[in-house]
Amino acid sequence: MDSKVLYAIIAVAVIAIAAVAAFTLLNNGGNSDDADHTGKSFDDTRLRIYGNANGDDLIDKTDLSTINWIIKSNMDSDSSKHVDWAKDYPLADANYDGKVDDKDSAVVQDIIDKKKTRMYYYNKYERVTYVNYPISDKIGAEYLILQLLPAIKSYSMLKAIDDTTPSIYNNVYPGVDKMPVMGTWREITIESLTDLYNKGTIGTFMQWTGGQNVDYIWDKAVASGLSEKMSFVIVPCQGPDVIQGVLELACMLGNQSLSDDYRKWYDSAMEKLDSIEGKIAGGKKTVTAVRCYNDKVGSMAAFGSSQGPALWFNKVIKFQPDYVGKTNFTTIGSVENFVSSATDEVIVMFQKNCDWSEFNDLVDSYLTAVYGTTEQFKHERMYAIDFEIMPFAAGPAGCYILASYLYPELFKMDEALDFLQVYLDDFAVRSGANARQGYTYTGPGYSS
Amino acid sequence: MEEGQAGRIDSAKRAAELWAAEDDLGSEESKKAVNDYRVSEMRKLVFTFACVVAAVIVAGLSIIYGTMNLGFLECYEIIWDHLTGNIQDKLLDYIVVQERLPRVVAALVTGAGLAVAGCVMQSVLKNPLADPYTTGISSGAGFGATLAITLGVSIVGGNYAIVVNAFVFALVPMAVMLAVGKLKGASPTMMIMAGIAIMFIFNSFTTVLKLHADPDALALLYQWTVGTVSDCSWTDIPLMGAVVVAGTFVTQVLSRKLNVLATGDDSAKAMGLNVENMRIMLLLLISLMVATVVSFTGLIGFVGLVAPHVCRIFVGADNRYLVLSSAMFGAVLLEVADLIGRTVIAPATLQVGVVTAFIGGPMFLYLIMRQKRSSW
Repeated sequence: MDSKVLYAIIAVAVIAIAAVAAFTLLNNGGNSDDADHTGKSFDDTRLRIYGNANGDDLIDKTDLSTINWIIKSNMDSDSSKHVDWAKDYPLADANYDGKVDDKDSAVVQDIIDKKKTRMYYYNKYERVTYVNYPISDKIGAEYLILQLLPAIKSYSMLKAIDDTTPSIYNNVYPGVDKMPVMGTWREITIESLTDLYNKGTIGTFMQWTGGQNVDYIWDKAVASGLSEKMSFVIVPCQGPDVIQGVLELACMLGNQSLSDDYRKWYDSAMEKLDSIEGKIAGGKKTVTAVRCYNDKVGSMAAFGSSQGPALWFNKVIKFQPDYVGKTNFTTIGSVENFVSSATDEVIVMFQKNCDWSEFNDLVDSYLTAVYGTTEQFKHERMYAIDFEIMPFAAGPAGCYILASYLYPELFKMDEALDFLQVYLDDFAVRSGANARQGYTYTGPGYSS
Repeated sequence: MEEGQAGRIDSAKRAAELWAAEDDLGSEESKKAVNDYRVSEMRKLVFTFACVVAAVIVAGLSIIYGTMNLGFLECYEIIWDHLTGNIQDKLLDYIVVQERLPRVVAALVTGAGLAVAGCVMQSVLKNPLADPYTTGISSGAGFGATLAITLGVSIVGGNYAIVVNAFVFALVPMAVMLAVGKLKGASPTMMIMAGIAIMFIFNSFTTVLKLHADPDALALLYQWTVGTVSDCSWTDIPLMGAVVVAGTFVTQVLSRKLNVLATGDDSAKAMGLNVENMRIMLLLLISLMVATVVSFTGLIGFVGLVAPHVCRIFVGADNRYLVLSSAMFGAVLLEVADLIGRTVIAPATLQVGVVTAFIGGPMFLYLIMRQKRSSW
């Protein structure tokens, strides 16, 4: 080939490559109008931290891209291209100043780079509060919100506790009875937190957000100025919202990968449980859900609300109408009342006061003593589950176990117990925990 | 010597002379009687003054105790800086002025209010076991709080749901007692019986609500029922303080009439006192005081029962001294109880109602053992 023709071909190739490279570089970072900026509704968003513009489970460059796209769109002279970010991307306002601008991009960039910044989030009590990102890994936790820490494999970050938890859960959470005490549960003061902060014991406070608790500390934290020094984490820790707490805690710590394993475990359970409606004729079963503390008849209390430990049950059952809409727990009071009102199948949730190895015996003795004369007992339609694995981070496993009781055609008990074992191995802290000992009834049965 | 004072000494001397003449005693005996009277009056005044001083000292010391180790001078420097608008450390200022100080003041006000109410109740109903809760006030307040906590049913929403409910329902027993008083006469026996009946009614409703409550609601209800001053803030104290101070002042003004009432219905009527109206008015007054205090602090027991009895040992049953000294002693008692509750298991706290029960029970037993019937 003539050398001149060859040089011309090479020159054209170089120019073409350069053009493609320039085109690619200019459109990198997602500034292209063709990039997908689909967001999620606020209700469907699990990571409710401002800066999570696209509503997924992470704060990353895609959020930066979304924010930049919003900024660019809203600068367009054509108003039809403007984005109603408050409606469609409410979490794009990373610095929570009522505007989406380059300051929000800067905040998200700081989050990605793990630089200090103020991180706003929508807390459990539906208020927007903030933490000092990244939050300190010396954490004081109130009551059972501490169980979010093992879910992100960070139990060692727990440095202080309230005065209630050790007496109840010192066998589940090792070392918790030896930790410094922050104060009386739900009455922890700014003074006691300041004292521990000044001593270097804690830099983050996790407030208990279960049951009837209210946001009793945030306003005081702001008024006192302690919120400038310490971070106050007020995230959900019960029921299906527990995933929100896990994701947000990991994000606040500046290490979102901490929540990856739990998220995958949680989502695999939800995928299974969400199939109940479509695969069971008539949908979820209506059952009587009963809670008890001891073997006295009077301790029977049915629940039908969506509060407290019952949060999870909505995934698996419909509550018995007799108790829906009433208070959290309705005392049944007598075997006669139970017999005349309970459904064919009953879930019995135990607040265990025995060692794990004794659980089967407890179930046997309790069910025999209280329900021994009932049809449900005789036909083994009373399904025992331990409180420890119901309302909190282990909830998906508890629901899976319940589902295997109620829908054996869809769910196998062995698989459910294996699923629980994964939780006990990866996300719990009690060594030697065995899914087949102490969480559900695996005894010889109660029919004689 | 002022004319009034001279008049008082003269009347005492004259009374002693008349007494001596009647009992055929000599002038030496009459002088001794006057002297004894003056010593007795002085002792009562000294005791009352000592209670006031003790309240100031205990309150002053309470401020410096807490989880954090702040010195005496440091605490008062913080308070002074706050008052002069020269706050040096916002956080320490908050701890001392917004957390410790309201609690100290609330304990003083609450203790005083409950003690005055107890003093009045015991005089009006002529019953040594009468206390601010005998009229069913505690049961009414407890029911109101239970309604708000377990069912979320409240007259107002928000942070004052429990407070308003407790206050309104605390006044219901009083309204019932007024009606009973009008219908059946306001004798001490009738009042106590009506109060006990109301107490049982409200307690039964409260029990029903508790049976349907979940453990978290029960825990919150328990905390309220036991009684605490830790939830009081500066927004609450003006109302509490105004009602207690005004109520104590009015009671002190009426103290002579209380003395007359304490002599018995017949002799009181003979001395021109409208017994029934006075009784109802006094109960109305203390019901208002107690309802106001209880709605913010929950049910704090024993202060209203024990404080007047302790003061009677030193000042007797003369309400002119008993009312004020009971107020001050009650303030001291509750302040000390709160200080103990804050420090004995710090940083966790023992509710003040628990501490008053620990202190009040044995104290009351001791009083029973050494109490003279004549002090009634």
